[in-house]
Amino acid sequence: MVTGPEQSAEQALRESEYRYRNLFQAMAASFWELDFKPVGGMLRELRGQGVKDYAAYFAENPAFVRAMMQATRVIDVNEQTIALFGRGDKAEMLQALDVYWPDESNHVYAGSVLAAVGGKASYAAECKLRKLNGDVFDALFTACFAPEAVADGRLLIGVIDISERVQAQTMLRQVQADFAHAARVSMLGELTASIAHEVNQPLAAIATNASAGLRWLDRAEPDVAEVRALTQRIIADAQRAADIIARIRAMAGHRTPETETLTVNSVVEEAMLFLAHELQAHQVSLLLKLTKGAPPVLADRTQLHQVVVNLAVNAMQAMAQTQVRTLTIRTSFDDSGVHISVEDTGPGIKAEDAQRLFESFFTTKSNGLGLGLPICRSIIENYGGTIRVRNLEAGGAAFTVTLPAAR
Amino acid sequence: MISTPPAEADTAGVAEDALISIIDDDDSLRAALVGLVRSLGYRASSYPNAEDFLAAEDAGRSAAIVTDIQMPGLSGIELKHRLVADGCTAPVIMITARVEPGLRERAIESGALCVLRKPFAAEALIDCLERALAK
Repeated sequence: MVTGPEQSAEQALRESEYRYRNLFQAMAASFWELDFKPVGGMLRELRGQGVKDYAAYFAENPAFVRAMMQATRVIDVNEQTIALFGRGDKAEMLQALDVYWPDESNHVYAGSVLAAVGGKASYAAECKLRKLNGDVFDALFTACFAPEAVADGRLLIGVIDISERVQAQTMLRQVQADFAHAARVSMLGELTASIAHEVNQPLAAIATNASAGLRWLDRAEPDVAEVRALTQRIIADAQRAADIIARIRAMAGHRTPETETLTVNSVVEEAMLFLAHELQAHQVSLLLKLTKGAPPVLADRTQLHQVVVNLAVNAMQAMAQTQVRTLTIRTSFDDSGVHISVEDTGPGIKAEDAQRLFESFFTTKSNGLGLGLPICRSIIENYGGTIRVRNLEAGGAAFTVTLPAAR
Repeated sequence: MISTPPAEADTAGVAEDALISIIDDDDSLRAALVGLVRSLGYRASSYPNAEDFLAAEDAGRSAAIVTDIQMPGLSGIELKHRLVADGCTAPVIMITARVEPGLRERAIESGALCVLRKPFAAEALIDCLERALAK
């Protein structure tokens, strides 16, 4: 049999198509082939109207993004897609894309259009997608913009079900938050004497001021100016007591951690509330070296208080047997992030302990649980940071927390 | 304490009246104690720590001394020992927020006239002051 060049090219194309179809069906992930020709027209029309910044336009006009999804048709899906999204019937799945796309994932559709327009080879994002039965699940969405397919108005997308992974992560975060809370409560227990002192101080001032006020009033000629001054001090002291209670309540409370923009200097200063008296009781002198102008960081305020207090209490305990007891808390920043360094003048960390310090249930203290440092580390790593320990040349240990600068 | 404000001497009041020296590192309690002493008709001078008090050489002129026990630097008990060594017999009233065992005993042993636990009733402090001034 004689085969001309045209026939063999046709055969090669058929084989290529066959392989592609096989691959499309055999892949373990959900694959979709989409026809987005009408979307090209919609975008050209926008440009004609003078829209230059598609990203801004998409962000301001969710209805337009929705209209693009409605104009995007599903022309083929593989078996995995039917199993994941459908109800066993392939035909009912071949419709406009928008039924699979909840509003909360609009930005991912918009993102993939922008990537295609921008000439990117592919796009991937985690988002929520919707099954035909209405269930919404966590998915990893990928789109591949092969030039020849895009020119033809076709697009291949892949979807991986990551709901189990997302659930596991959510549970892990919950467990971490539970542990962090348990550690905070246990730390508060150790600091009870200091906390009582901090609350007693304004209470003693209030009682004394009020008593003095009564005496000025009881005079033959009551001194209103004195009483006014005393009353103002009472208000200030009551506010101080209320602030202390609020801080303790935050430490003792169990709530979902909230990431906010914080300056490390304010966190260190606030954490001192729990430490001021503890330092005195252990006859430790405190040196605060706070660098001004550091960029803010993103973290939960109470959890960061917890880390600072925990490191400082460890430092104080490490200095129990030493002559010179100085706790230095330093803040600084550079290209690698914002640093909080807690330094002591104790015996330092033994080389054989250094590796294990951050392991759960490892402790060098007779009454320690060995959970403080691992929890500090999990808190810091949760915000993309690191915690490191080193021995100082002058003796003593330094724990340095580094958090990425919030931009 | 993180910051220690400079010593302040509040000597308002009637010059003939007794001078009471007050030493406490907590700014607001120190101010309150000064207010109470003045409302009783005495003069008051106050210091954020024992070192400042000693430097001011007010000990000899004080009819009574009210001091916190835990302060940065010299403690109230150490101050009392120092005063005894210097021959100062002014009665000393000690106040503390701590409850650690043995503290009260050590304070009394050092020669404190009274030991009051914060928060204390103003009446208790006034009683102590009157006893001190009757000496």
